[in-house]
Amino acid sequence: MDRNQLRRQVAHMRSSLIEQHYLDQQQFVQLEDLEDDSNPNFVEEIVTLFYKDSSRLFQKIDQALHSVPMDFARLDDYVHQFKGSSSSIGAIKVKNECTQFKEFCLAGNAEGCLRAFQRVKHEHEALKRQLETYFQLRRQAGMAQRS
Amino acid sequence: MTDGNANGNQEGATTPLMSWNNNLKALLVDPSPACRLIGKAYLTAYGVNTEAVDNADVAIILLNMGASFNVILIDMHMREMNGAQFAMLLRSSGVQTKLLGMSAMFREREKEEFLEAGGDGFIEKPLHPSKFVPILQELDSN
Repeated sequence: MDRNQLRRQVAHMRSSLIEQHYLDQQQFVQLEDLEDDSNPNFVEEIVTLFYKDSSRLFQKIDQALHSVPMDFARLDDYVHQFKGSSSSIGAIKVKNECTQFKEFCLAGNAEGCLRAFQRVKHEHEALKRQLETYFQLRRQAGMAQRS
Repeated sequence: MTDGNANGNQEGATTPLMSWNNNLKALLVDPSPACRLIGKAYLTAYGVNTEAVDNADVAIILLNMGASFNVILIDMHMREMNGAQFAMLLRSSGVQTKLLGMSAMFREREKEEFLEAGGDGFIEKPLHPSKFVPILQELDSN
């Protein structure tokens, strides 16, 4: 596949991710605009850091969910932090699930919190799979560029 | 822990998206590595010399060492203290720098507490040029 075809595939996938609300156009596209020759993998670096963040926070959320009694204030704090990093990369669906999760924390609804966490993890995993494909495509397009 | 030049260094870097009358310097305090990288990249792209640290203690050390900034952006949910506590600490130490709070969700009370403690402004995340450029323009005109 030649460079132009690969680039079109990348653009198509980006549009699709935005249309399906995995990613916020304004936020994600602006981040890609910050990439330049001196930092061509900037967005992938950010997303990698985001996964480290989420891994750390998911562990803490899990601990808080299993504390007896459930520590809603601490949960709210962790979810709030995760919402911040999700929104920063433009992860709309993940961010929206965090908003729902926060409402259950504020309401002191233990069952709701447990379900909400499952949804957050589900959306996070779905986004991760999509982005893995996307970055792979981008790398292929980049490799074709150099040949 | 401070972040290195995640987005390249100032010399030989891409032309900034905006130019300023003054040499603007920002300190970004955020426990999230992703948010620090994004914030620093945005501010740097817009011509602001930016230092990013992950906690309030390191920020205080930097300031005590004499580092000066035009603006300090603070996440409301740092590990050691919240944004209002940080603002109070800085103001009581005589730090006059413009303080901007950042939070994942706008909460009226959180904003009020921060402003009462000495904060100057409040931004809802995600950090985006539309939110910080007007503030920088105001700073640059003084």
